[in-house]
Amino acid sequence: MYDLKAEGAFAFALSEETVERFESKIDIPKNTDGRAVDTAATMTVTGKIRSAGDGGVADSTIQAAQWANNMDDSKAYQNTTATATAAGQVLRRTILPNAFVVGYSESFNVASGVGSFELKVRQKKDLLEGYQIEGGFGL
Amino acid sequence: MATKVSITGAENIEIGEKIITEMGFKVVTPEDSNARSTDVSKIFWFKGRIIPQIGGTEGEPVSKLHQWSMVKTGAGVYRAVTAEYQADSNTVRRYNFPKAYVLDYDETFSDLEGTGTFHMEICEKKDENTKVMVEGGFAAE
Repeated sequence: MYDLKAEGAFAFALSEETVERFESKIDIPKNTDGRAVDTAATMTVTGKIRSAGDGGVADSTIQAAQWANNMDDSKAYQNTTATATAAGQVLRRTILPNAFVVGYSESFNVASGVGSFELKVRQKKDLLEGYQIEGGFGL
Repeated sequence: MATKVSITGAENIEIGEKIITEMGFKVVTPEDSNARSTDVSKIFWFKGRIIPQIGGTEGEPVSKLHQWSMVKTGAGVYRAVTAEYQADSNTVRRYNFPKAYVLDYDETFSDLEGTGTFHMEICEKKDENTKVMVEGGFAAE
């Protein structure tokens, strides 16, 4: 099970019912002779968007959409944590303390009533040392 | 109120629930940025059916979208677009693009299907990007 949390002006907590997949990608320039310091840490999260009707579980994906839509620089960065757990253990916890939105898309199939989203965030590059990777401990 | 797309400006167009099959919203920024870019494109798209309006007096509304996509200059280029997606008596999303232009339009008719289909993408004029609104997660009005 996977969950995604963001703390800041557009705080949200997306639970296992919402998050389907997340991918952490470390981008390093390929055309170098030695290890480049120019490293980017990017996370892509995809999941479902549900309505809160009929007493169902509400989700806060609207906050993610508003974070992407925000143009105010003072609200652009959020502390973002993605966690993958299995068998009562945290397999991986990835923390981007100063993440900004690189891209966001969401879509709704009106006929079948299904919504989905994709959020792509990156740690602010001058604060890259804040990026944290943990894993292999009990909940 | 239900799922719909309303366009206001030089000509008012309303596309309703029976026509719309899919809709979505995209925020696109440069892929190689080190921090949040101010170069942001905000796009709304929707897809639907072109169906006969039997007994209707309004005419076929999707033709007006096709006509808008051919307006290249003048007052009719930029229009205000409001779109709403509702499910289970909830407004899941409401988008408001006050100054949008057509980015892409296509429609298809095929004798295998009987109805036509269309796809339209609109984009907010970049210098008025801050005015785009996304709301949702409240009970339908």
